Amino acid sequence: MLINTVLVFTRDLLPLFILLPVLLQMPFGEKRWLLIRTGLIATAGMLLITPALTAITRLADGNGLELFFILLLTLLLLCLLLLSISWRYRTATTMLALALQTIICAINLVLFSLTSVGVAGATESLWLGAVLGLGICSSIAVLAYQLLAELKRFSSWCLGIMLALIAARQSSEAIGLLAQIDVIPQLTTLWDSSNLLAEQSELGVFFHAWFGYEATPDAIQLLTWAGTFILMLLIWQRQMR
Amino acid sequence: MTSVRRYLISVLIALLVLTSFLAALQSYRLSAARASALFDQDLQLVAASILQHYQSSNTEPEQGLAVQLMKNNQLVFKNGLAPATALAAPVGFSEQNFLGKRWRVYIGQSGTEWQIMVAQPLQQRLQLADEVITASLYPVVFSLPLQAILIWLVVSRALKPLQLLSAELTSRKASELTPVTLNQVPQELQPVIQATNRLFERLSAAFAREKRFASDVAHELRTPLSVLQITLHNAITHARQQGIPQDDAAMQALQDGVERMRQLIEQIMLLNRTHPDNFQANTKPLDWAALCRAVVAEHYSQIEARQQQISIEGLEHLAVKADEFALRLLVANLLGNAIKYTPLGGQIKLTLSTTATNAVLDVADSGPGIAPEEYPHVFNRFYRVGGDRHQSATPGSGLGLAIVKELVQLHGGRISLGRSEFSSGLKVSVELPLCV
Repeated sequence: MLINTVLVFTRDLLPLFILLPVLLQMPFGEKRWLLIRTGLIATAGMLLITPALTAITRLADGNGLELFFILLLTLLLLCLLLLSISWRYRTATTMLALALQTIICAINLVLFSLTSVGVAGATESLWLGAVLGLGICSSIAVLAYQLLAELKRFSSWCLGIMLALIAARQSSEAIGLLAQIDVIPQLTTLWDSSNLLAEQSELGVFFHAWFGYEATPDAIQLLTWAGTFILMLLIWQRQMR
Repeated sequence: MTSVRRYLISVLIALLVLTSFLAALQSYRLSAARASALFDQDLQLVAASILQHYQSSNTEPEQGLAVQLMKNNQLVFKNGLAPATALAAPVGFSEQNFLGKRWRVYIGQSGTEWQIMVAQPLQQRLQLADEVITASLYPVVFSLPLQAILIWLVVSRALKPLQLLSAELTSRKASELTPVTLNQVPQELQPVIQATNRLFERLSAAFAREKRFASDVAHELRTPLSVLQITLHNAITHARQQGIPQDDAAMQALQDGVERMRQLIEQIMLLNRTHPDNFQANTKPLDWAALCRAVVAEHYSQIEARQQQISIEGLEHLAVKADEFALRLLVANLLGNAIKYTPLGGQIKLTLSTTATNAVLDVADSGPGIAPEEYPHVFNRFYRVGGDRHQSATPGSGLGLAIVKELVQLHGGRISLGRSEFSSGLKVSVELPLCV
């Protein structure tokens, strides 16, 4: 139970804790206020969404939650695209992107916590797993921030590549959800790399949160991932000129 | 890195949390796997313990559980590991000795009739517990060297600006007083760099003022001194022509004083001119031997007046790449010193030679020489051996050898002092790179 809780917390929180250091590398005036305002927006969003979660889940023949996630992921992807195109509205776009990612993480954790309540011995595992997961994610965020700050001195491309990887992950995840609710057909998997790196392993969870690693991807997912990644890089190149 | 403190605290905490938590997770995984294997082993032991009763084998298993079943304190069942008689032990858990071993025993009771005894060797239990604990310790132990390496890397990285500043200051020449510039200066180091730069700025201004002052004073004094010298000469000549009685000794002392002051001013101006900051060297291949002969010819009247013997020995041609004015001044200063400090009728010898890479000029005289302990000081400005009570009683500014040293350094050469081959006297050796 503890291992599962840690993995779930890490898997759900890590996308936020990887996006955060990348976006904080943008030139902002006062980062503390940006984070406080983002926290307030995300809290307000969660206060609105949580009571309506059951109603959302029941929408579209029980596919409401997946559709809602697809909407959030698409908005997040648009924010990242906008950030790559222009830094003019970077403060507002960054706040929105971080708030959307926070809401996605929070919904997943709320759902996990709700399903875990009542399971024998779950409470201890839940809080211990939450502490371990939060500690691991925060540490990765701090190290990623310092590493990016160091790499940024050599090339601004590292920021562009990180944004492109994160955006590719969002699009790939959205496509995965669309296939899950049968909006697009589920194609045969291109390969299975579970033996090399299982998605449920610590490293697999980290890679999935970072750039959307899938042990068994299908063609549509792969094409979407590659398309988004290349598009983001091209936009970044234009921005750097 | 904006702040070393913030960087060290955040990164070290992050590294320690990450490695510790990952090690804890790995411990959990390994312990859980080991515990699961032990539980499976327990199942096998129970199965083996019961099976023994129904097998005809007489051999006792090495490991397993000892089981006895008693009804009204009468043994009704026992397996191969259990003792032949009913074990008298309290109900519940206890530790007992039988069959030459220490056992962990559990006695269970159902009503008053039935009692069951299950026992396991204590040694076996400790061994199993050890396996679980050891499995959980491995990740923690292995994470420690990793943490040590990461801490070393992070601390080295954090202190790099300090090392850069230290290297920058160490590599500077004494005369380099330009501001220190470093990339990515952390907050903690900014006040240090600012204070250092302010100090450099003040020092630079002070040095510039000092240099300008000496040069300006010398320059301003030269004209009135020349006027004074001419006027004095005219006054003495006029008095002699008019037959006006005068104190010859006092007039001579006055003339010597003015001459000494003129020489001092000339030397100060030369010293300023030959300073590396001001000197614009125009180096070209020169014949040092020919230049020495020319300088000797220029000074020959003085040598003759003092009835000194002079010789130039060694190579007749010696090519060096140097500035002509500077090299001439160098030889003139050395020769001038030799003439000045060699007594009447004394000897002066110039020797030109080469080493593997350098051209060498030795100027030796038969003067009083200099004590070896004075050698390091004679190149200092205004330093005179014995102070004003110099035994030669020769007027001098104490700048000649300082100028020579600066000229040698300008040409990337070397100067050294030693005893001359005469019965007494000084030998000055100057080495300059050969012109190839």
